[in-house]
Amino acid sequence: MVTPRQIFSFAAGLVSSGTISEVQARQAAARAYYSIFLLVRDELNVDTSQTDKGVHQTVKDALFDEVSQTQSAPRYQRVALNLWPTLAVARIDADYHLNQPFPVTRGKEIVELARAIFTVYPN
Amino acid sequence: MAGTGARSSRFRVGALHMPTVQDWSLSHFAHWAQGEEVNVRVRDRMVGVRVNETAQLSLARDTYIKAIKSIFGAEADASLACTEFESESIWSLAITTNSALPIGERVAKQIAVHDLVSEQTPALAGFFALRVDGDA
Repeated sequence: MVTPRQIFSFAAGLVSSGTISEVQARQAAARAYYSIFLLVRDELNVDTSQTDKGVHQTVKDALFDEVSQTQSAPRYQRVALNLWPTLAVARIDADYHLNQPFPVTRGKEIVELARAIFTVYPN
Repeated sequence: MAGTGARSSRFRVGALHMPTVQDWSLSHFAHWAQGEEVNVRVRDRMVGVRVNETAQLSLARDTYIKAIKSIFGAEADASLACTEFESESIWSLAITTNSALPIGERVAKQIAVHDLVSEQTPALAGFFALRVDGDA
């Protein structure tokens, strides 16, 4: 069994060494996004098996609904919703746009944005 | 302001030339409100956007830019971009500043911008991806 926080730790480890390759930066950004995606999916118990939207959009919409309908939504959910598009675009760029540069600093920044969510995640 | 339902609608690519999104103001929409869709140029791409969504996009952009200037400084500005992937369109604001900021400061300021916007206008929470110059 693996937890989303463990996936995030793996992502952070990819960009913590002295010399970091673009491949590491891309994988760090993609894993960081997925750590948040899985965290939200599991915490909100989102059923992605029967949706006419994409799985990612389904989870994001569930998060938006949860935050907008719950005045006392926890801080980690609010930060995750705010940062979701930034993480999602980075994951698309990292995984699919291989002919465009993906600087190491971007990988590090995406990891730090995801860390900001886990920092306020209570479990 | 509509919620995620409006945001997740499909965009359709069209052929008409219209002013850039950056040039738009709400007064423009009155001219185009009769049609279901208009076409806008986002940087070098043409993206079909429904009229109610263009209004939402313009309002969202203006709200975010106010917050960006409040957090990053009055000299900061932002330009609009769109990432289309599978059936999803993700709108981004690329923030330009006068000086390169360290990662920690870029992260803190991005979170602050989002906090400010989402506190003032909850419907805009998670509307834009942000990119800060110096990370590319």
